[in-house]
Amino acid sequence: MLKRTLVMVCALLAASALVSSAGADTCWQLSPRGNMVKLRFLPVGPAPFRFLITGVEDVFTDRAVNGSASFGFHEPNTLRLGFTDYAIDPANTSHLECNASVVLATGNGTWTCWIDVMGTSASGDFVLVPGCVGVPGIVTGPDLATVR
Amino acid sequence: MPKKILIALFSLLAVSVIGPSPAQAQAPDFCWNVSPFGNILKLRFLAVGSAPVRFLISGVDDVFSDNSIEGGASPGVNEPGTLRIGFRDNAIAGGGTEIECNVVISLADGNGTYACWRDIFHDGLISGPFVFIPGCTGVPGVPTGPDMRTAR
Repeated sequence: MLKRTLVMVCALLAASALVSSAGADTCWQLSPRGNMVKLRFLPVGPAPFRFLITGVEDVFTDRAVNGSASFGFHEPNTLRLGFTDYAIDPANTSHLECNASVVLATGNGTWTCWIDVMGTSASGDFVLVPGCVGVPGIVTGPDLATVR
Repeated sequence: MPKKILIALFSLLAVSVIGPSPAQAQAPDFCWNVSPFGNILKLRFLAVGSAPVRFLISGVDDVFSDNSIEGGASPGVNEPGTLRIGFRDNAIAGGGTEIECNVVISLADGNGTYACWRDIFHDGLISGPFVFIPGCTGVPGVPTGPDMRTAR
């Protein structure tokens, strides 16, 4: 019981460090792509915690992002994120949608993004970028919006 | 009038720099016409955190029917002086899907361009001027064109 409580407390502390409501962006790279999503979390209501996400993805162009996040139930000590990246894909007249799972202990995880219904998805490592300051950043790979 | 728009938009940004306050809960709608269609989108911005500003969007598209909208916005980094907006208009369009939009507006005058699409339909992409409507009062307004849900 004590161990469980400790794990829960640690998870909440880790989560609060990741998703500070005070306001700085928390950034992740969608490795091996060069895209970096800069997400900001707004807590909604009491426990169990839920978050609304607003963000930007601006390494290549300026794209708005919005979605939500909550703690894993089937996979405790993870934060589950779902968001829409309003990158226009003219070829498919659609946008990108993503599902990510982050380990609270490290801030890293995995992502899967797809063009809705087109069956063209991609996935990889969701890598926490510490100290994100909101600038576009250095391009380290291709644009997820065009290279799958 | 452009000066008023400028003040309104920069006030919006200024609020976000100051931080969330009770006044934000009473913020007015900012309205745009999705020209040449008759739809008017009434968007309300909730600043989240401090600079660089990020906004959550809650809104309505009610000229033709009552459709809810949600999305996000942030200032352009690659194109400074712009606000980038992405949102979903939960209108049920032909084919059983919704409308999603990507918009760029100039902070200098509030006007910009939009691209909207019905997800999964390859004929869904439409675009045009995103025309700022000063003094939006929240009423549906007079249709100035067809409904983008059905006219393509």
